Formats: sequence, C-alpha cells, structure tokens
Amino acid sequence: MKWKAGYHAIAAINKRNIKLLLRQKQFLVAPFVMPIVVMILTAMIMGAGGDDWPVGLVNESSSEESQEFIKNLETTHSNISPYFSIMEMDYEEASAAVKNGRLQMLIRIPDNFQQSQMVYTETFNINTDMMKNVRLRLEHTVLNQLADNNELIAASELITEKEEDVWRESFIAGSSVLLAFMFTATITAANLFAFDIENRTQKEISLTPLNNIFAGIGTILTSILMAFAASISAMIAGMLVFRLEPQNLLTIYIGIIPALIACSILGIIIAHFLKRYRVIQPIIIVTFMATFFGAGGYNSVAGLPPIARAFSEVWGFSYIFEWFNPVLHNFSNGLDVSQYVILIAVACIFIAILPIVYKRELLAKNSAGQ
Amino acid sequence: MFQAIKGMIKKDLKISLRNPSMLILSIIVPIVFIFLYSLISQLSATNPVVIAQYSDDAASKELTTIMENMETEDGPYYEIRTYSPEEAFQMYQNGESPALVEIPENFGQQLEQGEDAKVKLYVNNMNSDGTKNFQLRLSHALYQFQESRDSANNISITEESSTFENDISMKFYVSIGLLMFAVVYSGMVNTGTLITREWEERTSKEISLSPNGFAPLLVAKAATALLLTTVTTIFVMILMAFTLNFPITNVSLAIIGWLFILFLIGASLGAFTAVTIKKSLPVITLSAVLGISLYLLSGNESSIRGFAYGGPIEFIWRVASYLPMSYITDTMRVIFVTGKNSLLMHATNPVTTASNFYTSIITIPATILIFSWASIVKLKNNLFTSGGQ
Repeated sequence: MKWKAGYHAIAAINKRNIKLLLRQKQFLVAPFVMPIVVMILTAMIMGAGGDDWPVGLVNESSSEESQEFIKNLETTHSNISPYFSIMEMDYEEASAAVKNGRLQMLIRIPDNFQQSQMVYTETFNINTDMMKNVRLRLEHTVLNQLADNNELIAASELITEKEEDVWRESFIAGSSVLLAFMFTATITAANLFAFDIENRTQKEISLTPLNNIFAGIGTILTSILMAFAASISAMIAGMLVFRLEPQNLLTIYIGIIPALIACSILGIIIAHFLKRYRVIQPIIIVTFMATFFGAGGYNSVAGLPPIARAFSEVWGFSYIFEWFNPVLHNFSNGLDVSQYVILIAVACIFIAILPIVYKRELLAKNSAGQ
Repeated sequence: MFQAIKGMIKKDLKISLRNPSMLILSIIVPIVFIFLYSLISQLSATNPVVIAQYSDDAASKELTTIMENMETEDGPYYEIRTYSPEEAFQMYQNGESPALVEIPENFGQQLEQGEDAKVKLYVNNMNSDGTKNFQLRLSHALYQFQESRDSANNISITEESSTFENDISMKFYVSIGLLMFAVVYSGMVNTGTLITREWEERTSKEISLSPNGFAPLLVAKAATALLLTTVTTIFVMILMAFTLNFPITNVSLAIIGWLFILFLIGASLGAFTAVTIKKSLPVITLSAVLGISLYLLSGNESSIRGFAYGGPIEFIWRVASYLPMSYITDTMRVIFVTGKNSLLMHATNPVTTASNFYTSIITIPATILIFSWASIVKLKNNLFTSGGQ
C-alpha cells in the first residue's frame, strides 16, 4: 500500500514538473537551445566541411614539372576531402587577399621552378594553428610530388581503425548529443529543486505524510525524460546538418540512464547548496560548455594535452564522452561490463546521497517568512 | 544628485557583498570557462603520440630526433609518450593514445639500399581532424628528413612575406578572445542583474517616485557594474597569465580603453535585456550563451576569414565581421603584438580591412547608443508600470 502511495506521489510530481516546465518556458530554453548552439557554432567555426584549405596559386613556370606540382596540389587529399581548394590564380588578386586575411597562403611557382626546385609563399600568419594547417599541407604535397618522381626516400602509410573517418563536424555533433543528455538532466533537476525552494513548495512537500524523497525521485524522472527529449532534438539537428549517423541507439539510451540519474542528483545537490536558480543556471551552463571543450567533447581525451588529460581523469563527465562516443559512431558495439559496473556504482553513490540532501532540506528553515 | 548616485552605488555594493551570488556569477563563471577552455589551448600545437621504434640505427634515431624537435611558438608538435614498440601498441590498442607511428626494424637498411622505406601511421579515425593532424605532422617530419638526407632532390619552400614577423601564438590569440568574452559577459550580467533587482526586490516603485529622476539610477548602475566588471577582468587576466601566458605586464592604456568600450557594449546589451525581460534568470542565461557565442564568432573572426568560402561558414564569418567585438578583439591583439598604441586607422592595423574599419567606426558607437537609449526609454515605461506594487 505504501509502495502504491509512493508510486502515485512520484507520478504526480513528475506530471506537475512537466506542466511546470511547459508553463515556465525559461527552464526549457537552456536545455534545448544550448547543445544545439554549441553544436552549430563549434561544428561550423572549428570543423565545417572537409579538409580543403583555400589558397592562392600563381604559376609563373611553363615547365612540365610545374604542371605536375599543380596537379598534386589539386589532388592531394586527406581521408575525407582534398587538402587544398585553389581560390585565386592571379598574383595581384591573391596577394591582396592574403594581405586582407581572406586567404592565408599564396603559393607561387617561379618561372625557373624546373631548375630551382623552389616554391615561394606569402602568408597571413594570424596564428600558429592556421599556419600549421596550411604550411604542413604544402609539405605533404611536396612529398607526394617526390613520390611520383621516385625521389622520396621515406614515405608514410596511413592505417585507420575504420575504412572511413567520422567527419569532424559529425564527431562534434555526436558530442553535442551526449552534452544534451548530461546537461539537461543536471540543469532540469537543479532548476526544479530551486524552483520549489524559491516558490516555497519545499515547505508543502515537507508537510506531506509521505517521505519528501519521493519528490526527489519524481524530479529525477522528469530530468531523465527531458534529457531524452533534448538529446533527440540535438541528434536530429546533427543528422540533418552535420552528417551525424548515430548507431547503437538502444545501447546508448539504456546505458546512459545511470549517468543521467547521477547527473540529476548532482543538479539537486547543487540546487540544495546554492538555492537560487539565477545563480545555478549560469554556473551549470558554463561548466558544461567548458567541459565540452576541455574534457573530451571537442576532442577525445587521449588526444588532449597532459594537463587536460589529467583533469579529465578526475572529471566524471569526460567518461561519458569517452565511453559513449565510440558506441555512437560504431567504433564499439557497446559498453564493457566494467563500464556498466562503474556507471551503476556511481549512480548508487548518488542515490545514497539523495536522502541526506532531502533530510537536510527538511531540517532547513525554508519558510521564508510564511 | 551626487549623493543619490553615491547612495545607490553603496546600496548595490552592499547587497552584492551580503549576497555573494552576484559575485559568483560575475567572477566564477568566466573563470571556470576560461580555465577549462585554456586546458585545450595546447591542443592545436601538441598532439600526444606513441612511437614504436624497432631499431636504434642512425636513420631511426634521426627521424625520431626530428619528431622530438618539431615545434611552433606554442610548443612541440608531438608529445611522444613512449618509444617502446610493446608499450606503444598496448597504449594505442587501449585507447590511451590516438595515434601510433611505427618505424620498422629495417628502416635504416631500406634507406641504404634505396628501397621503399615506409613509416606506418596508425590512427583512430573517429574524428577526421585527428587523422588529418597526425598525417600532416608525420609529413612535416618526413619532409625535414628528406631535406636533411637528400636536399638536392627536395622542393624547397621559401616564405617571401608574412603579415607578422613571427606567427602569433595560438595561446595568446585565444587569450585575447577570452578576455573579450569575460568583459562583455561580466558587463552584461552585472548591469542586467543590477537593473532586474529593482523589479525582483520590488523597489522599482520607490525609484520611479524619487525626485532625482532617472539619471542617478543609470549612472549608479553603470558605475557599480563597472566596478564589479573591473574586479572580474583583473581575476581573469591573472588566471590567463598562468594558463595562457597572457602578457599581463603589457596591458597599456590603449588596451584599458578598448576594454572600457567592450564593457560599455556589454553593459548596454545587459541593460536592454534586463529592461525587456525584467527577470534575472533569462538575463543571466542569455549573457552566458551570448558571451560564449561572441567568443566563438568575434574571438575567431580573423582566423575563420581565410577559409570562409561558401555555405554556412561564409554566412557566419560575414556576420562576425560586422560585429564590433571582432574589430576590437583583433585591434587589441595587434596592440599587444606590435606594442603600438595608435592603431586607430586601418592602414596601421594589418588584421583589419578598410571596410571593416569603417563599419566598426559606425557599429561600435551605434551598438552602445542604440541599446542604451532603448534601455532608458524602456526603463522609464517599465518603472511606471510597476506591476501591482
């Protein structure tokens, strides 16, 4: 009987929460908009399209070698696209474009290319990252030219895990979906808990004959449902715009539930301590955005600098990116048993903390003048 | 009037100190974002890799020495985590390293005999950016190896001219974008919440009845927001001095002037948002999202300019190029790099074009004036409709 009452309490809280969220649309803006904003801006600014880099190319030589070199520039490619896109072939125009930063490199093949074996460049060296990208592409082309002429003494052979690369924009979109899961669960739970404090509903909850923890379970349920909804919207955006081809969805949606329980309870803990949602909201938004960039969302943890790797080892959210991204992109069929065990153990630890939070809340003087 | 301004500033500062949530929002949020973002600032320069070096012959050693020494202004190209073949393959298979370079046992012998010497590159290609980065880095090493062993047949690349004497460090480039984010975000949040406070704490009616009019209110809110933003900016600069080598000692009067203009832009946007929405929660959320979006757009405009051709990226770049924050961010970069404080004309500023310069002359004051004016008008109307108080 008690179990039945508890079930009804949870269902009622969940229904109330959903109604509340639909009425207070300000709570839906961040969970639904932020992951998609991150996806669009990051994928477009830091990962749009293929690997083709716009350059200017001026050929002053009429030799066969220069034609071969141009052919190499046009055809040299990464695993997903050509490495160069030649935008301008007139020297004055190309040089002006470099000066204005509209092109980052002008490659000039001199008239004596056959004898000098030399090419000249002009650069808009705005930062080391841009320059690395364009200079190293040119060196890669030179190696291809030498290989064609049997003059290359040592070549490289690329061996990849899968035949086709996951495009950078698809990887970012996939990470944004995982961000939507974690972020929405955390912020929704925190907002709902803080809303109850600020609107003095905690007091009513504390006066019900049932244990107030049922309110917490209802909030966790709502947060997980919202996380699923936000992830679906982010996934559709990724599929439509950024070539995301999500795989193993059932495994992901089941496997991530313990993580979402932990995230929801974390949100409740944050709200319990900070109380006011105007404080909670930006802290959670910025922390998750930064987590996305610095701890496994933008790049896999193994590829991060040492300090970021060390940070990611202790920053729980990194593991969600690390474990679920390979599943999402079919580089792994599912999680290992040990990963499931860890996820469930973490969820259990947070579940054990939940009654403490609600007990503390019961003891807190939250009547706010009533 | 002066007494009213002083009183209002004192009141807002007292409330901020009594309830540190304002300070948390203003200081901690940019610091958390900047700290975590700066963790990946090294990402573009240095890639971790493992090398399976099977032989200690001279050729293998020469190649690995080249790989060790390759670097940019921001650091080495590779962080080589091991040379041991067993450990390297184990780390690669366990996912501890995203790439593995295998130098075969007979590498030196193959070179001596003029055979096809091949260095294998194993890459986890779950992100094409990683595949490209590792392939190009290895090509850079092999290009230098070719130059050292057979320069006669190599094709030399000579840089005839460049915009800057040395490439701008990516860490520095990022730090100025983040500084812009911190000032705009802080200006928005501080001004916005100081204004919404009057509705949320139901003091708007009292203000509307004050015989001193609106001027003291506006001046006091702006002055308090400026004080809080200055504190945030100083904290952010100190943090970035450690994490991104931000040249804190080179902050000149010209930089402070541009930061003040950024504050005015943030404050006018924050004030407009506040008087429009009248609730602090959406104002804060909007400030965070807008601040980070501005970092991605304006903080990187001069970077994306060179590859924004066609499709949505060109549209995004064009939008970014019209934003006044883009011009200010790049101008601050040039001031730091060149040490010249007089960069008001485009001819002396190598990262901006004439059209961007003239656009910015209009958009910078226009943004501040339009949003400030709209805020004042809305504030007047909204204060007199005090919602049942």
